[in-house]
Amino acid sequence: MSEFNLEQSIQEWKRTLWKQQGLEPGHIEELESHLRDKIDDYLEQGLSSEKAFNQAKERSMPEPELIATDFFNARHKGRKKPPWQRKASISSRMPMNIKVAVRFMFKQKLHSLINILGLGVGLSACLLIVLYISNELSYDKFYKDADRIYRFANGESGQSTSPRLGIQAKLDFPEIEEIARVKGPTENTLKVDNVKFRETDGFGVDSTFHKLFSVDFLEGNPDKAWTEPNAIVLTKSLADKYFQGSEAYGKLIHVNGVPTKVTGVITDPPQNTHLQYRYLLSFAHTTDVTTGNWIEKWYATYAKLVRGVEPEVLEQKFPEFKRKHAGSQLINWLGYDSYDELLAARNTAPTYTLKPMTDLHLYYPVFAFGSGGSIDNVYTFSLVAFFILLIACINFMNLCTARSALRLKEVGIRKVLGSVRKQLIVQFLTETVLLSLFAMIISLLLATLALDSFGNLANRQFTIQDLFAPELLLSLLGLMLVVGLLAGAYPAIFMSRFKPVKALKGELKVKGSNTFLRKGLVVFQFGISIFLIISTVVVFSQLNFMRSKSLGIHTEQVVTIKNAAVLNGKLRAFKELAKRSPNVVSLSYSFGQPFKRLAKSGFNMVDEADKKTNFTMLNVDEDFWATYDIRLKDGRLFSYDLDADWANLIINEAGQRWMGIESVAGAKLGQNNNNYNVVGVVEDFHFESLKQDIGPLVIRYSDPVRDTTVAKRWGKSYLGAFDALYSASIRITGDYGDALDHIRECWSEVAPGEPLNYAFVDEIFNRLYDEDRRFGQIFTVSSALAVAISCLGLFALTAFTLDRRLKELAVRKVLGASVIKLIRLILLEFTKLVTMGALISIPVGYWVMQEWLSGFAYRINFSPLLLIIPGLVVLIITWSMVGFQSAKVALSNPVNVLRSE
Amino acid sequence: MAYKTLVAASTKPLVLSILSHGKCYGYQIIKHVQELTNGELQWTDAMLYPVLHRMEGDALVQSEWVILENGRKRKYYSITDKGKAEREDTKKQWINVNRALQLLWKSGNELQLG
Repeated sequence: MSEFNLEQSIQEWKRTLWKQQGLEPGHIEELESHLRDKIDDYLEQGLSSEKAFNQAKERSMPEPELIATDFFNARHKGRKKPPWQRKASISSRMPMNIKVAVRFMFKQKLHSLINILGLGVGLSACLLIVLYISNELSYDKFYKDADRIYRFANGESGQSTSPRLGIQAKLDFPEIEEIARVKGPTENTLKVDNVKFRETDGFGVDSTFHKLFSVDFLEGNPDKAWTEPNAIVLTKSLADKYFQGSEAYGKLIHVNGVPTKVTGVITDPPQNTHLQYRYLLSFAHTTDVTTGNWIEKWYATYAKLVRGVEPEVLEQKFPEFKRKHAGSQLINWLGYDSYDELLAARNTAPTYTLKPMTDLHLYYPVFAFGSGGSIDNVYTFSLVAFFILLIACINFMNLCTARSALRLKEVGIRKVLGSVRKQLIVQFLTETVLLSLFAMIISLLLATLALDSFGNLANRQFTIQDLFAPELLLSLLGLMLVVGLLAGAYPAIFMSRFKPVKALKGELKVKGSNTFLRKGLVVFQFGISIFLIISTVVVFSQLNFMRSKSLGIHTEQVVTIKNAAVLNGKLRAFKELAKRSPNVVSLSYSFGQPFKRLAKSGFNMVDEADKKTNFTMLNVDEDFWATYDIRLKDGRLFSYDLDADWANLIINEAGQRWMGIESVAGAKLGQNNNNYNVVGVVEDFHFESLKQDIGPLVIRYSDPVRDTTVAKRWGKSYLGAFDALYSASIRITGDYGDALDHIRECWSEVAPGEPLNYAFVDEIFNRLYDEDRRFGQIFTVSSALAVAISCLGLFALTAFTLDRRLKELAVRKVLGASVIKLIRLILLEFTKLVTMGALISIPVGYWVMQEWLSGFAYRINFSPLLLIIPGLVVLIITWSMVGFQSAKVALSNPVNVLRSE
Repeated sequence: MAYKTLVAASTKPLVLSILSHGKCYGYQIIKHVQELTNGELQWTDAMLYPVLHRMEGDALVQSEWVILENGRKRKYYSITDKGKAEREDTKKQWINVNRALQLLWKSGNELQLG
């Protein structure tokens, strides 16, 4: 043991005091003088110098920090704690942190811009998609008691029900609080003060309508609005159109020529309901409405169940209910001996089912009067939104991580100056969170700007209020905080761990897990981009394929008049007038027309009564074949002698295949115990969407020009076809404008005052794919965005990679590497990443797209090119971006780089 | 041992009173107090100095550094006029308290509590 040195011990003790912030030189000297006096006293008492020192220190001098605190308090009245005792709270440092973060952001303008923009664009796309999805999910939920309202389905999927069903169900089941039947949508001619308007989206409704669907009455009494026949309730927009703000209630207007009283004005339905009515008519008080029957199927029947009633419980009672009430009528009508026989023959196990009204739009779009929802689209777009978000976030994190590597020295200096780890972490997190918050603002801006065009794209209307809904904003803010924190977490935790000396010397290698993570994320990003491009290419090829596929039927230059029914009695006159122009090739009247909803009816083989199937029905006149260019394959067309041919059928090839006959000679089909001769077979042509196979088709002869009672004769078989009873199809040639002018002239001559409502058949056909096309468009935009964001990220990432390897590249160049070699070196690395991404995404893309295509009866061949090209596209984009930047570096003079340090 | 609160309360009057007998340095003040109270009033030595500094800040005392023959330095404190006035003030208060306690503790003295 070394000998105790009093002087040295005192100096050491003094040094512990020097470290205290609260003590100043004078204070310490005073304390020292005190200690020395005390030691002297102890020495006098005969203690050893070591003991004297220790005792003096122990008795009179507490811990240095305590002394310092006391001295500090003596100087500063009021403040509670000296600074070294205060806990450094995050909030107290925040202003400084933000200041530094903003400064740093401006220091690296390009980088920050890319980072914010990338995340902002991705987010805004996401926002819009979320808006779309939440709108889709909101359908019909706003109705009061929406969760208790159900729609009757005939079987599992029949959207029209018999008129008696609602009436009887209300009588039989106490579980049903109220019933309302709705019929439509129909198109009618409304005459107001001698001005005629052709108005779509009219519905016939029961007087109980308002008890199920909460509608706001602006004028009129809801309870009496639909109790009388010939009553109409207008929506606000229609009432304004007709009466310009003056009271509409009590006014008389003509609906299809019938005087009708306006019994109310209601607000327009919001956009997110499947019932897009513009006016609501009361039903006539005829027995088919008031008593009803079980045969016709015209009505959409809605039921509001009593609170707490499970629909499944009710559904179980339906078979018995139907047997009891509908049995006898159905047996008579369909020609069976007993209800059991009918059940066995028709195999109609589920009688009625109840579909929740709030599910109609997305899950049962056929029930939703063309509101055009699709749960598949919702899923797809959720996925796309998720992908975009993922890419954007990965990008953001990648860039933040990459950038942090350049800040080793800063970290070192901060640490030397006294920053502790926690402060560094908070600093890094502040920076990334700040960036993400900026991105959020940008995204809201972009989304606002794109709101309208996106609405068009999605065929929905969105308002700013939807976008700035508090819940959406809150979740966005939450998301941004999470993304910001995640992006900052890696650099924050990793960088703050460095020993300052090493950081300052630049000895640390930011390799290992850092680059691995980053590369992994880049691979993932490439993978998603390639997947999205594959999907886009496939969706578009399929849509193109459908548009260009030969339909076996002539659709160009064919005009149809939807409201030909108003010509009743003047059909012949119109036809003759129209045909006078050389621009009109032919004009055909038909019940039903291709690409419109067509009625189906069951037919059976005459010799095998058990073999039966549903045939689609068309009723055509003699000009139909020429108008649509349909070719006969076997047998003959009709002889156009009504009496001879009204009970004969022509079928298509699909029908022939189903019958399994070689020739039509002697072929017969049975329907409801009647037998019909099959006289001809026409070549298959598409009459439905290409999603469906060409099914068996029956064509009958009817000519409304010659036989105006045809509606009566065939009517019963076509119940369920809501469209106008017959429509006119006109094949035109030459100049469209001239032809249409001519048709319009003829129309106004024959049906003065009636609006002419026409459409081109190829447009009707294309409209079948509206949803698909829209789907394709949104998909394209989304994937373009995703790819763009990826590119942005790639660009910045390349810049950083090169920045960090400047020296290495310079040395290589000095040692004789050629420019080409250097560029190849860098390209090779990125090529690896793209290839890995492609390896992941191609099988996934193949599988997913096969699934999607399987929904189409007629689809493209999945050529491997569709899979390889997207990969190549991404590779080329990468090469050009990386190549450009690396060429710049490789061409530069290595001296400039090497000299700098 | 005296109560902590008593120590705290009596520090200032004691310091002022000691200094009115002449200038002192910190260690000396502590020794005087110990002697005067028979060691009853124990101060943590270093804690005196903040008090002295605060009193100096309030201009109750003033200080000067003195270098001794052996080269050691000492800081001497002396009372100012303001300090004297303050001392008189506290003196009255302490005497008052003392008198009250004395009266209370005198045997045979009954309080007329109403």
